[in-house]
Amino acid sequence: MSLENVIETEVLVIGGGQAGLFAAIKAKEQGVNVTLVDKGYAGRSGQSQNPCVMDVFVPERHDLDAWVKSGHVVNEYLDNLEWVELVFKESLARWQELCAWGLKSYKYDKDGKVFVSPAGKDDGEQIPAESLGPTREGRALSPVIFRRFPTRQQDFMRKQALKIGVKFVDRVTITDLIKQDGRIVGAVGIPADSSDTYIFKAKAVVMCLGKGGFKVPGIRTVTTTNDGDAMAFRVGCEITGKEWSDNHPARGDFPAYAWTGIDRNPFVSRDVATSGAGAQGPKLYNAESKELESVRRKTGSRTTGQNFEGLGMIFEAHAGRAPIYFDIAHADPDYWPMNHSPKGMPRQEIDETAMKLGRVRMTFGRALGQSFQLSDGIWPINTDCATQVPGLYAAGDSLGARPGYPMAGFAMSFCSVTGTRAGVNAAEYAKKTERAKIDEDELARLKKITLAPAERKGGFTPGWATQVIRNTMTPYWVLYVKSADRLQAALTNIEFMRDNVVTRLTARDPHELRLAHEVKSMTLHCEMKLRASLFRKESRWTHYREDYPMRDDPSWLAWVKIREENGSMKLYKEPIPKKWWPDLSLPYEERYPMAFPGEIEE
Amino acid sequence: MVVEKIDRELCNGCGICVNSCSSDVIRMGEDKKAVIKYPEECIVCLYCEEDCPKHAIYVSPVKTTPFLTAWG
Repeated sequence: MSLENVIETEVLVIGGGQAGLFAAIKAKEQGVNVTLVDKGYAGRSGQSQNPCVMDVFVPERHDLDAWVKSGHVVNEYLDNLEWVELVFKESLARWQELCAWGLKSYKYDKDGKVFVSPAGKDDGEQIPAESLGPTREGRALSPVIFRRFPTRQQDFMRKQALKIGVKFVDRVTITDLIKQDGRIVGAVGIPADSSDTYIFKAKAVVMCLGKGGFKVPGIRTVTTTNDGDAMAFRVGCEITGKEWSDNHPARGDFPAYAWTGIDRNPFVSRDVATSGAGAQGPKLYNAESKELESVRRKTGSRTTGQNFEGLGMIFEAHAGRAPIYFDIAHADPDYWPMNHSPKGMPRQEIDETAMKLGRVRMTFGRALGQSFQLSDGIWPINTDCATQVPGLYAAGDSLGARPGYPMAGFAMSFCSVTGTRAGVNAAEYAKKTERAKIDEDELARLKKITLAPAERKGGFTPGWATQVIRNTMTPYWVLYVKSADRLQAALTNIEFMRDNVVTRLTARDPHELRLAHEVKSMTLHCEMKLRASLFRKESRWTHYREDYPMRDDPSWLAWVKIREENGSMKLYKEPIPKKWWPDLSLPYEERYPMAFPGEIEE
Repeated sequence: MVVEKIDRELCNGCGICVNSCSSDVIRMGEDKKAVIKYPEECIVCLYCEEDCPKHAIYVSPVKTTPFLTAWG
């Protein structure tokens, strides 16, 4: 017999990473009841399990204008600088709170060695310029670093939340939001290990579910499947940024292993360059033994940007010049892009394979198809982190505020600041809002949708469907070298899945029921990515259209938003404010230092 | 492949690995020891191995996926 667990709370926070924990703590501090629900174990799930750095702007030491603009050219004028400025201005306060709650920080000494610093002391130290990515400008500016060793970074935040009375519901996957009379009044969920259901009745809900991808192994964040965007879309929110995709190179021989890529964890090896392509680092070659100039991180302006290093490798493969490999036989071993597994977990076979061959073959697997960090999500209507639907707030990577990614460590600052804002504002909203009496018919409808895969007699397994999604979306010519015909072909397949597979998913147990709902979210994410990619008829930043290889200013100095209209997706442009445009009188090459293939005849 | 082994001799049943696995691969068995229940969901993040106080877990750096069938 299945039980229905009904939990009444004033603020419900969905997702327990950095943003969710901040939101829960800050909402609770406003004096309301707060419940945090996570499909894993809050404090040990989500994307922010593996933070390396957090940018903390210290007014008396740093130049705000330089910080705010540090990523703008590299991110091709897509960043919402209002949010960037706001995050930097509030980052120090969040950092100080983290320190007060028990954060352990790690820093570099003058010789470049890592040392443990008592939290809260020496904040704002400059660290070596080459130590942090993704942008040259960012690396030079990143001031404060911390990492999760020896304790997991969010454990102390969970403790702080518990201390002040936040209630935790772990291992419950939220499947839908409850909307009534035009506002959000709760959520429906399922636990991992029983066939019960959960009904959360809330006055306000904060979405902190991160970004997402297709569960491609090899990066530590892939259990996020865009559930937040999917649920928000279904209740009428606008979703933005789906045309952007992340790219993380992986080793061809161990593509599922997170610690073999070229973008290394800066704290594991002595060298802290992120790309393995520093002056002493190994060089990348193509099948014709030519060094990939376009791939190598250079100090000059024409090739900065993590995005273009990844795309550069993809373009080589597209030209038929794979395999692409690191020549490690002629490089300083300290800079090898090899095995940088966490302490105590060496995987000797990985290094041995590379040493034997003298080269490391590179490909893309890790994070393929993932949203680009802080680049997609639920569109906010203001800097309070409110969305278009009253009672619904969003923070962290769920928030489509498009702050861009000006420097490494910004994500942690962004999640902390937006988590705080969303938590405080959701609590204030909850205080002045009457609790709704939830309509039983609507509840029954949502429960029926949630439990449908468990009740079907036959159909398709979520594991198989996930595999089909990956096989449809992973080849480089779908999301990395795009064209209208190929996007349309993938979209046709995804639409078939949406209509014929997602509607017939089966679940043999509660574990599989969660997977079925993740497949539903992932399929929606795929459709949004393909439609947004078709819609943006130009190339920009991570979005490369072979059939439109140039940036198109000013008509595409715009963000793409998607919303539901009469049961289908409607896409439209949101113009980027002119104050953030590039100087259009400058020659194209100066506005856009990075060149896409086919853009300009050499 | 993936999370390969939880040494039952070393496992003290603390359950930390269950909480560390947001993919829901590991569950507690009836004998109060951790078991690999859904290995196909392992994403090779290594958190379980990293967090195990008894060093009872080994995660392989290799993951293979089954070949794709016409339906499944």
